[in-house]
Amino acid sequence: MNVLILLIFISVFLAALAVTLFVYSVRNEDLDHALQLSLKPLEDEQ
Amino acid sequence: MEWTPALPALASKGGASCAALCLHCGNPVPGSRSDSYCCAGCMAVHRLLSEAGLEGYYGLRPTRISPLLDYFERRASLAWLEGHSGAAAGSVDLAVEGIQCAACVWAIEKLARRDGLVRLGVNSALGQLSLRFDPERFDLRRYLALLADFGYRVRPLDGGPLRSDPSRGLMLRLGVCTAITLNTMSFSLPFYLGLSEQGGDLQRWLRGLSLVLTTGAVIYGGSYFFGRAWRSLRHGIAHFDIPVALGLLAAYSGSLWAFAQGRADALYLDSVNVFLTFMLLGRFLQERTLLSNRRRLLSAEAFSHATVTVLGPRGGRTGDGAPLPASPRWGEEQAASPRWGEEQAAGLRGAEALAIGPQQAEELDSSPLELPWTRVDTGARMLLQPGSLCPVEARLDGGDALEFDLASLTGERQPVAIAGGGTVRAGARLISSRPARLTALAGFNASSLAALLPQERGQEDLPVLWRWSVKVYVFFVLIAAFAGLVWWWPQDSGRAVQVFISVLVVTCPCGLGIAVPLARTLADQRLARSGVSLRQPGVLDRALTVRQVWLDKTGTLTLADLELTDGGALDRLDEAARRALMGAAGASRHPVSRALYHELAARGTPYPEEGIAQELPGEGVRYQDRSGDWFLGRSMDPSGDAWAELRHEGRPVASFGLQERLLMDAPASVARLRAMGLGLGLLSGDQPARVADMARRLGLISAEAHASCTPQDKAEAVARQPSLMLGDGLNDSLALSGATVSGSPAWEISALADQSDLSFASGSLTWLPELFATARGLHRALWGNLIFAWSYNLLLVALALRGSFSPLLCAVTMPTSSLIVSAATSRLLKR
Repeated sequence: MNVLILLIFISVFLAALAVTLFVYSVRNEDLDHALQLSLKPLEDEQ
Repeated sequence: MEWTPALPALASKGGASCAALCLHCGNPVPGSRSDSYCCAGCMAVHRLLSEAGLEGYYGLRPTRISPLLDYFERRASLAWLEGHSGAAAGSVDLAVEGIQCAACVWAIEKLARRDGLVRLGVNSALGQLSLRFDPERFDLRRYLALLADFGYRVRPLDGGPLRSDPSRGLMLRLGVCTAITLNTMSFSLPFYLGLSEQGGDLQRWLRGLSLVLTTGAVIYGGSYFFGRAWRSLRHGIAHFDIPVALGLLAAYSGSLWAFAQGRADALYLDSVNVFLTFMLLGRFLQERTLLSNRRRLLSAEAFSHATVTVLGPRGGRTGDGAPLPASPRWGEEQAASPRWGEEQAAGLRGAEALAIGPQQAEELDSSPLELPWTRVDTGARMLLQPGSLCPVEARLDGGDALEFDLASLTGERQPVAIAGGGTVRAGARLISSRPARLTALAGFNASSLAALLPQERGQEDLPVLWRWSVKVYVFFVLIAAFAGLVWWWPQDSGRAVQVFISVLVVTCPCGLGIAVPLARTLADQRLARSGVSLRQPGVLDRALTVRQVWLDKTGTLTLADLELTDGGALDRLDEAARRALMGAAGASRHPVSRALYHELAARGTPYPEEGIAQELPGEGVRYQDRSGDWFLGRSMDPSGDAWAELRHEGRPVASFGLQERLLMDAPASVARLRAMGLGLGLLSGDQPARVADMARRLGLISAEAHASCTPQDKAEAVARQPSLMLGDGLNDSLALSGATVSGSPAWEISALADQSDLSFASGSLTWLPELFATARGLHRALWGNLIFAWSYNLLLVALALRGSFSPLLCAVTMPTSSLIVSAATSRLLKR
């Protein structure tokens, strides 16, 4: 039973991490520059 | 290593399967063209991309993009760069028009990196470009001229980039609430699968965590609806947010009460989260659609050119007495040319470059001002640029004759030569290559043009269906919930509260809250894919009432440029003749000259700098260079056919036939409209023979073709019944303003286009039946959703009032109903 409770908290932690990354992405206006970001892998190697 | 995708378009040039598709845009090549391009614009840009080493563009673009039919008409001035503080400081925000896909972003970035730009941001969603650079090292003017060469039109964003994006806040709320919803649903699942409610650590932790997470979601996500509902109540408006906020509040507080009481039968924590997330999703879609429409309107406004250059003494005043603003300069962008192809750039700009001559430089010294048409008064001295409209009746100053086209007024290409001292009609377009000096004979308000411009439409409310539904829905929810409370209270107060909560939860307008915004978003996207931008609210609702479609001829059913009947005639010319033809055609804006000039420019013919061109109004252009005397004679006969003949030392060298090009898909589109039960008709100011010929080509009967129409004739025809009117000239403006739905081509840069209900990409008419199909699909989707939502709610409210409703049933039915209406909406509106 204790393992289940531990798993619950791990899942909540992962969800919180995902939300944090999502907020970071939205604040950086990544969705507005989605096309530009999608081309990053094609950039010249410096 | 640089990634360089293959150039399939070039590689497959000889392939049978691709032979009929344009190498640049992927659209079908008209049978009348002898090359592999659908238009001269696509040919020009394809050549420029290849020469700039940007063939990778074709590896990134979708199979098909919009053709560049209006490429030569869309070049915008870079005059605003003069004195622009951001350009000097190395920070510029621009509105950019023409970005279609990732390939465009790639090309824009590549061009910038070559010139050493420090930072570039391309907001393709909003059509914005942010440039941060070192002004000493980066030539901004050259870069923007390059973008223009590739078909992208830029203008400065006054007041900086559009940052007030209300959907961003909604997106954050939606993301957070979605994460919480998924977790609370997971925490509720064990109970639905049989986990005991009677104690144990796991039960307490799951319930406790669900309550904490739901509290966070209600505070963060729900505050959006609470605030809006409160404002609606204060203003006495029955808004859709009221039942949403009430349902949320009741479900949450009821669940809080149930948690405290230990009553699992009234615990709706997962339903609260599902409901909140779906409501936020619907609202997010709605805001994104509004933002997208707003961006299009701002973009159209930024590129509107309803201005004229007025000359006046330094420190003088305008016709309405206002002091003269600082003098903007224009035209210098022609001096800038790209590093990689100065000759090519000159070839594309030839006629425009001629506009900036010694005479114009002299005029520039007398403080020219760009003023709106409405501020031109009697006696104002104007400098009219080639290609521009004369906004008022005016006298042509100077002794030389110049050519004007009355197509904007009459609907037909009608070049006329006007001698010095003659009167130029308001709305006449200057087609000679030299600027015209004019003196206004009347103010704009007294001008015939002012009477032709449409009046602004008032803003319309939401559709009647939507307003009616919301009002009835609000009262239905409240009456049902309180009826349940009153009915059950004498028997069992705890049960009464549970019934009250369950009614509010079950009637939460999940389906409507998602389906309606989703339907509108899908309709908007479907039209945008067809090349239509809605510029006014309620267009699709009004389109449902339309019974008759009226079409203007020239510019609406035909392309802006005349088309060579034999494109090979240009290819057969030797180098000297081709250069001479370029020099002669580039010196005039006569429709025949422009068509020849565009075809030559697209083929990469450089503009000859050494020759001297002299336009003979009404006859043609004389051109002298080292190889001798050349003459380009041109004419248009009443049947609509045009021709041009090139002579060298008096001997004919080549002749060129030209014709109006009917949109390829116009007959099929007209047939589809007829099959939809719509009446059709042509309204043209053109001559009867030409209109009858056009009607025959379109598949219309003679009674449906109306020739020699005045603006008033068109307005009267449109007013007889609910009509959709498409037109591009000022002679259509009265009819457009009186039509139930009005449309103008997107490239029409005038006050006319600003006032239309919709603008459409030129080159195709398939969007028109698509518009009606979308309007009908949207109507079906909205009614279908409404009927489903009412049936669903009546059934479940009956269960809730009976006391048979459970949190499990709610957890299943709520998302299921939302998914059903969303899927049905998508099916109706997505192809």
